[in-house]
Amino acid sequence: MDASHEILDAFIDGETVDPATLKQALSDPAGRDYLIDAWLLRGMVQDEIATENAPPQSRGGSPVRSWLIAASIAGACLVGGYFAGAKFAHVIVPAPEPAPQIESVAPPQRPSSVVPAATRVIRLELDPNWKASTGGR
Amino acid sequence: MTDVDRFYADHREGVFRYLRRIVGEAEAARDLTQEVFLRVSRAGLPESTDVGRRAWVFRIARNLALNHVRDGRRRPAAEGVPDRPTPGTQELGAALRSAIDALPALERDLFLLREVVGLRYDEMAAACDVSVETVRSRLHQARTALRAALGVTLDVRGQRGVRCSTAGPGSTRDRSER
Repeated sequence: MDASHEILDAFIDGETVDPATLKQALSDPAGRDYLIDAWLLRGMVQDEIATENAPPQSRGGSPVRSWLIAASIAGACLVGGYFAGAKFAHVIVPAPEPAPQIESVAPPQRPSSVVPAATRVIRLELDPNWKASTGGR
Repeated sequence: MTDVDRFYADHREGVFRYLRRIVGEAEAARDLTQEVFLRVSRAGLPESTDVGRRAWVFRIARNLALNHVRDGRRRPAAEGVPDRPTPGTQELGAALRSAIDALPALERDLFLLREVVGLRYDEMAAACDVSVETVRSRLHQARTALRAALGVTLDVRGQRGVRCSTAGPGSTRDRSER
């Protein structure tokens, strides 16, 4: 471990550094390698954070792609169905049977529909003591 | 919105990300994050600068994480780093996690606080209760150890290119200096 590289850490971490010391550290090839590796390390950590923050991918991919796949399947089914129907219509569809004859039958005349004659007459008369009043109680 | 609410909104992601890498399981990290901010709300925010408060909350998080690990509730220890990892994203991630897990606790914490949370050296020093000089040297040791452990994997990652960035993903430098 080379302690002179600590200034490179401070530099990449945004701390205040002495330019002359930094220049000296960067003049060493090992120092330059260290600087690049420290940045790569930072890149790895940021990749990791980005992966954690990314929303989970749905299995079917993007919604647009799912709709396109669904539309393609529906279209293929329609076209296939049309051609299959055109080709095998004579095999699959049975010959139409003659339509059944419909007979209209008039309802029978019911003798009971005649209104019977009254056997008792009930007559309603007002009570002579009855008085008109207002209110419900 | 109270100061505590604002503080929670600003730091919950960083605290969770840090804890997630130490304790392993997301569920446990979520529970510990809640515990951290429960303690924050009970204690109230200290009279301090933003830098001091960030260091304070990560000190709480670190102590809780260390207790969690000490109690043996951590995920099973990761397997050793494969000698020749295959160049898939998952394999690279697994190799990185294994290498980080193999670091001594302080070096691991300093590396995570820097790379995952984006704390400054003085904040890390306060959070881990060490000097800034110790932060410098131990962070360098952590990177050197990771570099040695991930030699082949780093080469594989290098095939995707490298982008220069002088601050970690969650860096708070710009915010604090506004």
